[in-house]
Amino acid sequence: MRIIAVACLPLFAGCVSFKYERHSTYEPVSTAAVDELAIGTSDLSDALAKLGAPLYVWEGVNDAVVIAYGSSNEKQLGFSISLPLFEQASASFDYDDISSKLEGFVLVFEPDLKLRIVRAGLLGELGKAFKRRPDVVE
Amino acid sequence: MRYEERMKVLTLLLLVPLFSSCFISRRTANEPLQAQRMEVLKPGTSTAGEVANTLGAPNEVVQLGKRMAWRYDFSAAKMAGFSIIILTFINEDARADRAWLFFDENSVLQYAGRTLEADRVEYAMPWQNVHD
Repeated sequence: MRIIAVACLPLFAGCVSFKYERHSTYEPVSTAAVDELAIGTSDLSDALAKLGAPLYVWEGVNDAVVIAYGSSNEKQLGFSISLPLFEQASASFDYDDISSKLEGFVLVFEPDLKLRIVRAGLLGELGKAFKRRPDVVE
Repeated sequence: MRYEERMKVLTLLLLVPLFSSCFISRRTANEPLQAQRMEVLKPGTSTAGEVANTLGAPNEVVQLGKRMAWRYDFSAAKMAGFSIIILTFINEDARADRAWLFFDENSVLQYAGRTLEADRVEYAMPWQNVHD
């Protein structure tokens, strides 16, 4: 009976699984490089020179320019029971979907492109705080 | 052959192919960025039209009041993993080349920033720290 039970175990592989996953997305920017930027004196060109290209550029409130740098390194240990009915895979990256998982820095520049604010945290939440909301369509 | 021996052989035959489940995959999005082409563009003189002629259409355009910013990017991801019956290990590593070009209200290139890291993407197991 034990042999039969062991032999049957692989038959459950499609619906019962234990997973150890790691997803590493983008390289983090150096905190020391961010600290070198001075509020009120550093400008957008200084930030681009020290930190490279941001992941996101957003229009801020009152013509502010908001840029964001982020990365993630997630480890997950999980157990799942599933009954897959169909499977879909995407070959593209969706910048908007992944922003909620990315952690990093948001830099807000005045309209004259001088640095005004630096915040660290989850980009999804910081983006909501600093992005200009779309105008209401009447 | 006795019944018990037959059952052992049958069990082994069922299990052997299921132990060899491993996979790797690689996916990319967009065309790789070419640093040489970007170096031709000069802040203060190059126009949006010249940028479009040199680099092609951007992947994203963001309006910043009267200014605008263009994004170009190339993303690469490598996934590796294996399964032992119901136990699965998966690692995905994703990196991107990207460039943001900022234009003033006259559509003249003002600033440009780029990060090229897509070629550092690696196959690995979840317990390996390939970027440390």
